[in-house]
Formats: sequence, structure tokens, C-alpha cells
Amino acid sequence: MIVPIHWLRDYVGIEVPAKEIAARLNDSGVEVDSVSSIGSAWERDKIFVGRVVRIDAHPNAERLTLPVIDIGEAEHQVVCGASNFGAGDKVPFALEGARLVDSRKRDGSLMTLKAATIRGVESRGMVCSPLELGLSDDHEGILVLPEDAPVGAPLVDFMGGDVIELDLKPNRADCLAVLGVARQVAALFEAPLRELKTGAAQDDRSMLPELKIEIADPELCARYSAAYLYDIRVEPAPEWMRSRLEAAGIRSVNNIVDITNFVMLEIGQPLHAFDWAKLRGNYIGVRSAVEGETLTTLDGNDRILTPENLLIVDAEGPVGLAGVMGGIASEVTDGTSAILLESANFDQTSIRRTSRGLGLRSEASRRFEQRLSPETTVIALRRAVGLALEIGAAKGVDLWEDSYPRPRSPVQIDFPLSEVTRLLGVEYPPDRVIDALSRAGFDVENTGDGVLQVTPPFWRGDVTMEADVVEEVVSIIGFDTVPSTLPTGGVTDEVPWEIDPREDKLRDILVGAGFQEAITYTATSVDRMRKLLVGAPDPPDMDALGREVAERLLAVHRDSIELVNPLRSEQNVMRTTALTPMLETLSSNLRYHDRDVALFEIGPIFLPRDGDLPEERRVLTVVSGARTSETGWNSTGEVDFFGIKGVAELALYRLGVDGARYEPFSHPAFRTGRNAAISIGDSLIGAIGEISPAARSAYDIDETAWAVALDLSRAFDHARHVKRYEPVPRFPAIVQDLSITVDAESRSLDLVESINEAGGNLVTDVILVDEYRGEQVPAGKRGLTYSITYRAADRTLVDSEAAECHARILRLLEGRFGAELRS
Amino acid sequence: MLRSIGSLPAEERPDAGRSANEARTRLEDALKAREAAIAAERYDDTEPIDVTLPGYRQAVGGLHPITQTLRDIARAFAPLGFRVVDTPEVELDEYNFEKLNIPPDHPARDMWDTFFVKGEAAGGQMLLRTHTSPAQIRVMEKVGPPIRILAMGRCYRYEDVNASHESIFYQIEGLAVDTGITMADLRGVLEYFARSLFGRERKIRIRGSFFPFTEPSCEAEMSCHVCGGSGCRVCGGTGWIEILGAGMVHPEVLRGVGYDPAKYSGFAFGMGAERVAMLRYGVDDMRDFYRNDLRFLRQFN
Repeated sequence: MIVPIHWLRDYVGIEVPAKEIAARLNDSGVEVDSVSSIGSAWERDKIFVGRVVRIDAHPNAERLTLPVIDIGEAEHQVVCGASNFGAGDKVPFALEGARLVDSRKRDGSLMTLKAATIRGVESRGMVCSPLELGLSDDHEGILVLPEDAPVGAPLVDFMGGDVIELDLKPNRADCLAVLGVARQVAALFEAPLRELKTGAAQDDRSMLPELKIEIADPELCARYSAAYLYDIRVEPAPEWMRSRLEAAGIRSVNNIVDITNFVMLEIGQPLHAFDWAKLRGNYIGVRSAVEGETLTTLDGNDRILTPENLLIVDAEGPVGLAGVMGGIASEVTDGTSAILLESANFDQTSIRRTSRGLGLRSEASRRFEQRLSPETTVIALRRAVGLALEIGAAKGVDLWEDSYPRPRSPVQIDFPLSEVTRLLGVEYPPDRVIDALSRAGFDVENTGDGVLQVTPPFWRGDVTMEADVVEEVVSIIGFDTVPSTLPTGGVTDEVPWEIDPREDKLRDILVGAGFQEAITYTATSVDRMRKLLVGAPDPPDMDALGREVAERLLAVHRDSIELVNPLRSEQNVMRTTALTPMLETLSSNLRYHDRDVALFEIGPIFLPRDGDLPEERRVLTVVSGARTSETGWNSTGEVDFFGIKGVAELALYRLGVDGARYEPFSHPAFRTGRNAAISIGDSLIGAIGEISPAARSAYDIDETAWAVALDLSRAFDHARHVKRYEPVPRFPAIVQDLSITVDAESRSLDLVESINEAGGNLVTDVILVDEYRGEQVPAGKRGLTYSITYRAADRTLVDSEAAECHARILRLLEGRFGAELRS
Repeated sequence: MLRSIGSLPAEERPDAGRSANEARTRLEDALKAREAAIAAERYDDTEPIDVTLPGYRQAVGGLHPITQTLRDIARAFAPLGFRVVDTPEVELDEYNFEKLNIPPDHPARDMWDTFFVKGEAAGGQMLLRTHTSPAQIRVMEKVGPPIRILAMGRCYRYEDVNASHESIFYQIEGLAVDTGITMADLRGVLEYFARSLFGRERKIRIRGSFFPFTEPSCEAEMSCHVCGGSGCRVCGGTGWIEILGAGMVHPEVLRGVGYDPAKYSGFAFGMGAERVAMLRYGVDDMRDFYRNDLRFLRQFN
């Protein structure tokens, strides 16, 4: 909503600057988007309203002309390149030395107009385009002013001025009108409000044709009022009306259309003019459309209607879409001799659905979507007919027929003054509260027992309850009167939906381990996720464990949550795996870095559930490129399986998850032989491994890439909640290495289990210190070295006991695995 | 060894005693010699190295700046008893709008550009939450007052992406409900927050606004942390920076979750983590947060 200050001052006697008015409005909750000044750069002695006396041809250039401009005390001939005007037109004219927007630079910067000789003719001045005046980007032609623009007047006096642009919130529909803003300004500044001129009502009803108004459902149309205009003289509206409309951003059309727009902007009530001669049967009805009914609207489009659309009909059929757009058949034209002027109150939801459904949003429908008061219909008609008489556009009868089946009574609120203190934490004297409300147009009666009887004015439909009254009080008195205190009282002891603090623990340890946290988009596309399966048959080959990994963490095969209105097709579903965005992030970063591209994210994947919101499964995803820095200057190491497994182990260690099992699986996204599923008991909690060459190529990664995916909700289930104390060992330990040769296929996990089995409770720790494959061991074998810690809880272990145990372990390994002691 | 000599037969004692004494003397001599050698070791006889060469690089990671911001905000509110929660990102219309006093087809819905989700849940239309305000309802439906929570999480906005708009953003929503909670408390809490995050001298001013789920509603502005209030580029010359929307919990919202609005009152506020991060770090393009370019992310480590 654009509010020209000079228009505002028609209703409120106030001389403070626009900026101050804007600031107070903004503080009171009527949000101001901007305050701007049209023509603040136009010097009064340099830029004038001029009249084109005649246009001479340029002697040397066909595309240039030499208009002669009269600016009152002198005539000037200049060179001009535009051709959109003729003799007699009023135009803006700038003298040499004027500051104008530079049309060549296109960045809004100003230049000083200098005398110039163009193709042999001297030019000392300029006829200006809207761009040169800083009004718009339009440089197609010069700005042609209204015919009644006063020749010789400084242009700034004619069309300059301050405007406030409001960014209105849905509660203040009253401020979708200049009068409404004036009321607010009057209340805030305690300034007098001037009454509207609505007089000139005409009593002679004898010439009125018969009219019957029928409202089918008062829920959809609370009131329908009509005025009658006749003796129509269609011509341009007077300059004062046009300048106000144009300053408010509405194009002037003719006096009749301008009156309806003027009243809409002034009072907030949209009006619609029907050509009376084209309405059939002396009848206006308001009803819902029948499925399939059609109407050609003013814009020439044939509309096929549904019962959701509210219609204005005459005796034979639809003539308008209520509150949204009129029908073309009953449009007012030059030949119109009588008008039915409609001023109605429609249901906001109905109008909203229709305007949205048909993609037709207008200044009128925008207002109807808000809460308008049925009281306004008649006021608007009185004003419109008064204006028509005043400017000689028509004669009229302002209240022809008025259908208001269920008149609304004003809301009355019993308002305990204590509510102000209870909600605001500040106590105002009762008089101050009463004064604030009265200034805002509220009817206030003090019943004397601490309770006010408050009746909001009809234009404030947003005020219906005590809290609303409190807001009104504080916005008029000023929010700056609210003090600053800290709350007393209780805190929540049971907190549903609390964020699991272990997520932060996990973040911290991964950061400590050198990983950078990422936050990626949760919306993606099926195509983007399917790259994980690129080249694989459909359905992909997977073993049971691979299928379980897919189910928990790479649910690419499953349905996903689809968006009705995605911004772009690459983001039209919610992700069912977080690996896709993380590999994309890895890929984009590998373009700029050759090592240490190691990222993680903790976030949700979205798994649809029948008839319910999706499961939002929290997952940890870690990705890494092939190389990492090593200790030393500029030395790099290769990331390998055990490097990435170490990350998973670190994460599980931090969460207190014990007993994780690592087993190879088969899934097209991971390289076979370089991956492992992580399980605890029967429950799969994660996967690690090298991304398969096909999958990483699909994400444009041309080096080996590694990933960890962990289902956090499951991992948390297996985490120790309480840390348990065990006494610190009181007796010394004996550490002995065991170096053996075993079959290359034997599993370390089985060896360690046997070591523990043979060692019993004397073995407290088994650590792998070396794996060897190569010449020193026979083919098909590998060497493994474990460091075994022996300790007794209740005594100092003697060497012989440890040695005996060590030998027992070796015997078991020899028997079970054919292990041989390496020398 | 010497102490156990008494347990030997008498005839063996002299020999054993002698041997033991000799052993002791040898041990003591060896100890003295070693002590002398250690004492004689010089501290200044090694070849000098170039200590200006860089140290070996340690693996170093970092938290995303938005995570850091969320943590700092949570930490600022923690002393006042606010506990951190998060609720679903894919939400029901009912929780995102209706129970927050925004009925279907209400013009206030225009305030939130919404991504809708295909299909229907038993609870009705699904959507991507446009704010963390549904957490108010979800928490209050589960527990009674007093309430003091901070809901933090990812929200979605159907909006074209540019330097100052993103289709995802993180919102932090505060809610305090009890008997006797006032707008003055709201202002005090916000001031406490602004001071702990942006410096001791920060002030909060409030002005009127509108949100369907608060009444009265307000917008809070913080005195500019760059110029201190005299006006600069960051605050657009006004000395004040818009930081969040807030208000007193609407009686209809309280009634909807079974709280008696005549007895209980509360305040709620909501702010964007990106905006706070941009103000603190001077980031001027919101898109940088979700591009995950290491050259950007590592600046916050």
C-alpha cells in the first residue's frame, strides 16, 4: 500500500515530516517498507512543466526534431530524439544546468545538463523521459503530463512529494486505505481527523428503475449495496484526483473508473461499475457458481467455474466474479448512460479461493481477502456519488438498494485493566489506557470496578478479545514504555522432543579428528540419489547384508516424500540417503583441494510411513577423498579401509557403543572387498567402505572416495547410558608379543576371540601391532603380531604364570588355525 | 636381603652378611656414578635447528558456522533455564498452521511461502515446516506449564534462492509459559541474549508487529553492534538492527493445548540462525552457508 503524504494530509491535520510519520507508524505495528520522495532532486528553478508549442524538423537529421517548449516566461527550442508527443502536449522541461539521471549510465547516477550542439543545431535544455527524472527505467519516450498541468510551474510542485510504502500485515486491513492510515496517524500524534465529504446525496428517487437484490447465502455475502449513476459524462478525471491516484501507483483511466479506484484507496472498499443497460431483468443476485458455468471476464478470458466461485448474476446469468473481476458483457464503455455501482461485503475465504484458483489477484480482491466491515459499503457509495457530482462525472442516487440480511452488532469487550499489567508487566494509570483507546476510535466506558467496556470501531474487525485490546493500548502509548525484567517462575523439568546431546559429542570428536562439518540440503531428486546404483541391474545385486544397509541408510529404492511444489526438479523429493549430498559436496570440494577433503554431517533422512508423517532418521555421514596430510611437511598419506574404519570406531567409542561387528557386504554403491557393515547383535547400525568406481564417477569424483554411514537412532539404542566405575588395577601387568603365521583367509576377530578364550581372565587386552604379507611368509599365509597384556586382579603376576598362559594361547591357535610361531 | 639374614643358620650368617654388604656397596656406587653422569649432562650442546620452520600439521576440522551459532545461542539462553528441543521437519498443516491460530485460507498464510508434500497423513495435509513454532504446540501438548524451551532446527521456505534468501534456514524459537510471564520479561530475556552474544552494551527496543500466534506481537531490534547505535552500513544508518519477531502467546494457542489463558501467559520469539551468523561474522551471501565450500567453512574453525 502506497500512501502519498499529500493525500494523507487531506484527512489529518499534521505538519510533521514524512520520515517521522513513518517511524511512528512503524513502531505502532503498521509496518513501513520505505519512505521515498518523488522529485527531491528536481531543482525548482531548473525543471518545469512545459507546453509543446510546435515541433520543427531538424535540418540535418531525420530522426531528430526541434520542439519549441513554452515554460511561461520564455520559449526554448531544443533538439529531441523522441517522437511520442505532439504540439499542445504538456511535458517536463529541464534547463541547462539541471541535475538529471544519466540515461547513458543506467545506474541511476546524476549528470548536469550542458548546452550541446547536435548535428549543427544548438540545444540548451531537454525534454525529459521518466528515466531522466528518476521516476522509472523507462527511456522509450518522454513523459507526457496531464493536460491540465500548469505551464511554468516547477515540476516538483506539480508532481513531487513524499510517499510512504506500507508492508501491511493481515491484521490491519483498515490501513489498506489512506483514510485508515490517517486514523492511525491521528491517534498516534493526537492530531485532528477531518471528516470525509460525503454529502450531496440526492433525494429524488422517482427516476430510479426498479431493482431487486437477492443474496443466496449471507455467509458468503454479508451485504450488497448499490448506487445509481446516470447522465454519465466519461472524460478524464480532474488533475487533483489523478495526481493522487498516480502517486499511489494506480494508472488514471477516466473519471468513472478513477472514482471507483479513488474510493477504494481512500476508504478501502472496492467498488464495481456495471453498465445498467446491459444487466437483464432489473435483478442482481449473489450466489455460488454451478459446476461448469462460464463467464467471460473483463480481461477477455473465458472462465469455467466451480461451486467454489461466488458469482454476481442478473436475471439471466453470471455478470461478474464477486470481488475478483467483472464480466466483459456488462463493462462500462463510452456509450454507457447509466451505471449500477456495486459496493458489497464478500466472504474473505471465498474470494481468496477464487482469486487464487483462477490466478486473478487485483487491488480489489486483495482487500476482499482481508476482513472488511459491512458498515463500509454505504459510506463508500455516498463518497463515490458525492465525488461524481463534485467533478461532474454523473448524477446519482447514493443508496438505491441495500441488502444486509443479518446486520452485525459491534463487538463489546469487558476489559479488566489488570490485563494490561498481566500481559505487559507495566502499569499505566486508567486514564492513560482510556485515552489511548479513545484516540484509536474505540468507544470506552469505565464501569468503575477496574473493568472497561470497550467497543472497537467498525473498521477494526481485528480487535475481538482482551489481548487485542492490550496490543492496541501498547501500540498507541508506545512499546518503548514496556520495561525490561527477567522472568520469575519455573523451568521445564520434563522436556519432550529434547535434542540428544550425544549428537554434539559426536560432532566434537569428529572435528577433533580433523573432519569438517557440512550442512547439506535435505531436498534432492530420485535421479541424484540413483547415481549410487549407476550401472547396476534393476533390482541391483545385493546380498542380505547389502539389502539391510540399503534399508537403513541408502533407501534409494524406496518411495520418498515428494513435494507438491518443488522450486526445481533437482530438489523435488526429501532424501532417503544422506550419502548423495555428501558425495556431491565431496566432489565439488575436490575441484579445489588435493587432500584433506574429509567432511561429515549429522542430519535426517526421510522415510515415508503409511498414513503418518515420515520417519526422520538421524544419520551420521562421513566422506573422505583419497589423500590426507601426514605428519611431516607436505607429505601425504593414502586413506585406506582401516583409516575409515578407525573413524567409525572412534564415533562408536565416543557414543559408548561396544561390541560392534564388521562384516563385508555387497551393494553397488560400495566396492566389494573394501567395505563392511557394522552390526550389534542382530541390529545393523552402519556401513563403511570405499565408494564403488561407478558410483563415484557418477558424482564426478575421479579419485578413491570413502564413506561412513551410521544410523544414529540405532547406535544410541546400543550405547551405554551410564559410565561404570571399575577399580584402577593395583597390580602390575606383563605385556608379551605373539607373532604368528596363519592362513591369509583367517579372520583376526576369530584369532582374538581364541586368545581371550585360552587366556581366560588373565588376558586383559589384545592389540594388533602388525600385519605382514610378503616374502618372509609362505604364499597363502600372513604374519600377525598381537601385543597381549596379562594381569591378575588380586596379585602380582609372576613371569612363569604369564609364560604358561602365553603357551596355552599358542597351542590353541596352532590347533584351531594351524598357526605357527614366527621367529 | 640384609633383613632376612637373621633367619639363616648361625654359621652361615657372617658369609652371607659380607656378600650382602658388598652387593649393597656396588649398587650404591653404581647409583652415584649414574647420578654424577646425569648431573654432568649439558643442556646446550646440541646443533641448533630452524625453529621458524612450521610445526607438523595436525589434523584439524571444524563445526559448520550455523552449528556454532546454534550452540552459542543455546548457551546464551541456558542460564535462564531454556532447554533445547527439535520436532519434525515434515509437519502436519495442523501443527504448522492451524493450532497456531492460522486457519486454512486465512490471509496470514501469505506470510509463509510453503512447500507442500504429496499424499496425506492421518493427521491431514503434510508440508515442510515453515518455522519451528510447531514445537510450541508439540511440547505444550505433552507437558503442562511451566514451559521454558528453545526449539532449534531446519525450516523451509518456498522462495527463490539469492544472496539474502534461502529455501532452507535454521530457526531458533523461544517459548516461556507460566503464571505471571509478561512482555517486560520478553524484553529482558532478549536483552540478556543480545548482551551475551553481541556485547555488554547492547540494548533491545521493541515495536508493534503481527503474528497470528502472538497477541500482542512485536518486532525486536538490537542496538547496532558495529557502530554502537550511531548509524552505519550494517544497520542501514538507523543504529538498530531487526533481529527477531516475538510476542505474547495468543490466548487461542494456549486454549488449544489445554492451558487456561486467564491463568497462564507466555512469550514466544523466533529468529533466524543465518541472520545472526551473518551479523556476527560479516557474511554477506546467505547461499555460502549451504554450498559447503571448504574455503568458506574453514574460515570459522
